[in-house]
Amino acid sequence: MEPPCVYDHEDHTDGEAMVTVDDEQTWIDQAKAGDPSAYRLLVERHQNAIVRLVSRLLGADHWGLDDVIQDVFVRAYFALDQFRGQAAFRTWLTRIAVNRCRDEQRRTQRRWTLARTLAQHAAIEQAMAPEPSSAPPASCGDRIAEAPDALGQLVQNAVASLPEKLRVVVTLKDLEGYSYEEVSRILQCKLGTVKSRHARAREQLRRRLEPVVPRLQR
Amino acid sequence: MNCDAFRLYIDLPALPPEAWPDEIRAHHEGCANCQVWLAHEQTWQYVFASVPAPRARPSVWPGVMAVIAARRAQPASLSWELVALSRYLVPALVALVLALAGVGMWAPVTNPAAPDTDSVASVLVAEPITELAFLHQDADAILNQWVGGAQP
Repeated sequence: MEPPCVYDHEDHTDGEAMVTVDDEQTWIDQAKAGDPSAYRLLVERHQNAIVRLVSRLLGADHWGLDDVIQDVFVRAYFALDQFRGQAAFRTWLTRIAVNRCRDEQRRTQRRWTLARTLAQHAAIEQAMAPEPSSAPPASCGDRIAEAPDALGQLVQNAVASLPEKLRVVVTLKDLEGYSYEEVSRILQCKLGTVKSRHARAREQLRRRLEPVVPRLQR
Repeated sequence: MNCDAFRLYIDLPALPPEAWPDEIRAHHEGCANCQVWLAHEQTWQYVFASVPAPRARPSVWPGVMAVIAARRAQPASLSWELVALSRYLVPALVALVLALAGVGMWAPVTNPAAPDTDSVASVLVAEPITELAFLHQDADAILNQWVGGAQP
């Protein structure tokens, strides 16, 4: 007897117990039939991945982040009948999450533009102000080396500054570990488009990060 | 095995190099381009691995369950599809009413078959017709009418 297919390549479940495709398909069928406990299993299995993705796409400090995450699962529940199993459930759910994040960004874009502009001005003024200590200014690389989390923060800011189309691709491919094929299915665009956007995103990131990580030079 | 196939393999959720199939390992050992490419990819992986993971959150299930239950309890007339439809339906109805009102206002003016007899325009148009009819009358008949009218 052939062993059931296991999501052995998925690290998106953060060490949860191994779940087979058959198990998940059973839960989906039961949830479609109206069994809330089966849908609960699906939610709990994929919650961490969706939380991580939505937090990265919208920003961890986004107002109403919990509502967006919750809404992803609510939308998925009412759209379960449309899930035909052509892609993995995780891919399908991720597509819903990406679309929900896009809606959220459009909705809040105008509201937050002014606030962000003011915050950026404040940050620039603060950065341009002379340092209080009399020690000679350290280079950017030295500062990064002194602060262990600084590189991560720098990369996070660099990713956040990318245009939305590029940011989504980098988030899915490089931060969430999806393959090009999966990103193509999630975003419902051609594989070549995904690769092209990914290359452009990497190029923009390289320009910003090169002073800190010289190995990124081509 | 060519470079594209090698890179496609690496793009997939990849196994560690120790577990690579012989074909993959052989290509990697014999292809300088792919070695450079892989080293570059590993640098990127190091860079992205430094990004802190967002903090974990408590289960969203209670909130999800509450929303699903609330939506199921809603009457059909208040379903979200209808609410969404009303966003388009109401403006469409308003536009229709305005369009009909506009047609109603302009129709009497633009319809030549039903002129307003009380308006100045209709009097001005009517006068030449009256004069023409007067001229076409027989002169004797007109005199008789006048004389007869003046007789006591």
